[in-house]
Amino acid sequence: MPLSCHAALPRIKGDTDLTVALAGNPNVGKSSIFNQLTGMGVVTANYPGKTVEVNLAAATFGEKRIGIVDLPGTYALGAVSEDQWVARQAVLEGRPDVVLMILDATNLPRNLYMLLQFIDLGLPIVAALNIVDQAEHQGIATNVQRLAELLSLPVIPTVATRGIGLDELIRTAIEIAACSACTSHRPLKYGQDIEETISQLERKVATAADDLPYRLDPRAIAILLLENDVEFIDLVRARPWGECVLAAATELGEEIASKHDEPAPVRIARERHGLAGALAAEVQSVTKPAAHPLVESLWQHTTSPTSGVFILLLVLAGLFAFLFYVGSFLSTVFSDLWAAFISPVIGGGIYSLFGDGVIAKTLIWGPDAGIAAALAVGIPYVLTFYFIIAFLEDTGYLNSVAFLSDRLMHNLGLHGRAVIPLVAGAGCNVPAIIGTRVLSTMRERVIASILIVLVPCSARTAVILGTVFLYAGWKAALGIYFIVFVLITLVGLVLNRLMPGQSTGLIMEMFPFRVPSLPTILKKTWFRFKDFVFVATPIVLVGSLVLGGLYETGWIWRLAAPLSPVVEGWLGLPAVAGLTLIFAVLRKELALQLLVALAIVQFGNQADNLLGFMNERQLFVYALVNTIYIPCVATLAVLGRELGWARAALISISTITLAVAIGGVANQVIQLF
Amino acid sequence: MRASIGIERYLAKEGTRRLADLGPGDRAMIVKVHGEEPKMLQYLASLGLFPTVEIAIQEVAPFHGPLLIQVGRARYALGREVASKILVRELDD
Repeated sequence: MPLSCHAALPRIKGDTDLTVALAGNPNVGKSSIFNQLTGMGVVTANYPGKTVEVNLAAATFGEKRIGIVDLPGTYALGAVSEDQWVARQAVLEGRPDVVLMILDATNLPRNLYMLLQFIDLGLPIVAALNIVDQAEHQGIATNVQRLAELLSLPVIPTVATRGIGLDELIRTAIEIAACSACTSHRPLKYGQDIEETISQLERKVATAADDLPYRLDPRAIAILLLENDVEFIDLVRARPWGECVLAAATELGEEIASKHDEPAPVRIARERHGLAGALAAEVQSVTKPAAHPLVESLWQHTTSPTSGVFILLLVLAGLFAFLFYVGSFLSTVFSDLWAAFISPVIGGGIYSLFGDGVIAKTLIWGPDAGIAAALAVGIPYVLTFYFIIAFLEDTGYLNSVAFLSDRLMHNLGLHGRAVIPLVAGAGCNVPAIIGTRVLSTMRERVIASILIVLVPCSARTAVILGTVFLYAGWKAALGIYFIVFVLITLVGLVLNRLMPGQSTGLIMEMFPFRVPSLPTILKKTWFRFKDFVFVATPIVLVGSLVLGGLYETGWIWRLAAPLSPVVEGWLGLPAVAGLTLIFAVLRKELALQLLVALAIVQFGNQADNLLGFMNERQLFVYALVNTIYIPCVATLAVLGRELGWARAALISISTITLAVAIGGVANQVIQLF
Repeated sequence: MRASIGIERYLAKEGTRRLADLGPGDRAMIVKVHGEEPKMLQYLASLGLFPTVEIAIQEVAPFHGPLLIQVGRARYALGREVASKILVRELDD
């Protein structure tokens, strides 16, 4: 379960000798440094109401226990976006002993911008100049020593993916953390008049104030106020000396604006970019053209409207086919192995302990059916999917996908990045919903999750194939997919209208293609999979036990009785079919298995040809309702965890309503012909 | 509404266009970023997108989608809404 940052940050501080925050732009190799430094015991924490997470872990280096806080990758530290706010808050509140700033050597000017912000905040810093190998390939040579002199802080060249330089990085971090006099790096200056303005406000802050927010120094506060930082303006206003300082800040900010013909925050950003650019120009020399020809042509082909769309369709089809065929193959293998070897052992154990009464039969549902269900979904679909996604992420291809599909997704209130989870939903909804974390706002995550829940996963496809396709032909089966596709589009359009807020404008860095690193991919896959195992398995177990109890005691029939007007009257299905739909909450393909099993119980063996007791219309309605209504318990568990239980409940109720409504209409319409 | 009047005033100047109206291969210099929202302005500024900066448009996504631009050594995808608020002067090759 995710911890709150308020609880997790102090705890890791208390447990370790020193804490280090890993900071940097997105895609600079920050997570591979984090993965190399830490073991498996990673905890994720978030601030209430924020989707961006902070990863925490402890590592041992020599005698020292080091707490490592992995900040979200951001381009800057400000209150202007959620990821930036979270990164800054974790540093200000967590007060790490040292900030490890990871710089991308291939794009030094933009990376130095954020380093300068950390210097402005007055925090102790060690910089890692990462990806130096690729920079060299691109003909970019960096004078690391000169950079360290200019910044007056240690700079260590690293190649994180191969572990080069990391020991030295940590050793230096420990030294800097132990040396309080080492953080007096202040030789860098912005333009003269900006510096004068900052000094004026700094003096004002220093004389007026004694309790500065987050114990920052007056210069840091002065810069933040001139930058119009909404959070710090509020923090300062709440103090007795606040109004006086804010008045001075406003006046000085207006002076800057009138002198430079642009707002003070933009002017400061420009000065900082100028300084970063000048620093980079002084320490780097570029001898070759900017990018590798192969990388360039990959770029052109994956982003151009013609070849890009074609490649995207191929990749999506490949992803779908892989999840569908490899996933269902693995799923069958696991189920068969379980049934052959493990199920008899569990059954034997339980029967020998509890006899063969209702209790034993109920208990069998939990560990046996429950774990089998979790395994049959978890490893084949979820693990495989995570692996593919981590691979695509690591290569940089997901950016091209987001770029190409942004416009279409926009109509549904989403942006381009949502296309991958949506398609993945066709394999299994569970990883797809967790995959919505790539979306930046809760609004987008909610919309995407609702749409994903409606995407027929492979289990639901199995039911469609085993009923409609088998007995009513491929046209009818396609009909179900068509109805669901129209439904998803309509729901997306409606949600985009109804939900407060609007889809955010896309501003996304397009990273260069990189050769993926297998250890990074495996570790990423495992971290995400672990979440699924811990969240979904207990719920599937409990769900199985409850349903098992209801079934074995016969209560299920009594509960099903009130449903018969809906099932028999409105949907036109046999009552027993309604019952199997309830059980399918455990795993959607159970609907089909139970349908056959219960049909045999009720009608004898001739019913194993389903047409023996349900006609084509009924099979169609049955598969349609099964496809649309309430997701399986594993999906519910993930929905609850990711979006909150209230939203999960609301989604469930809405989908049941939709399923019954659409199923009933289909029933009536088909009867007309 | 004031913002759009502002934009029209700028567009009336010769050679000034919205970034969103340019196509692949065009190069331009940012003249003004029209932000009704200071947060957006600051965010773009932190990425180095402010007046006098030169950008190259590399690709435009299908269905009137986002633009792929290059600024210095970085590449960004900018959605239409964002790109139509950035006013630029086209540069000759």
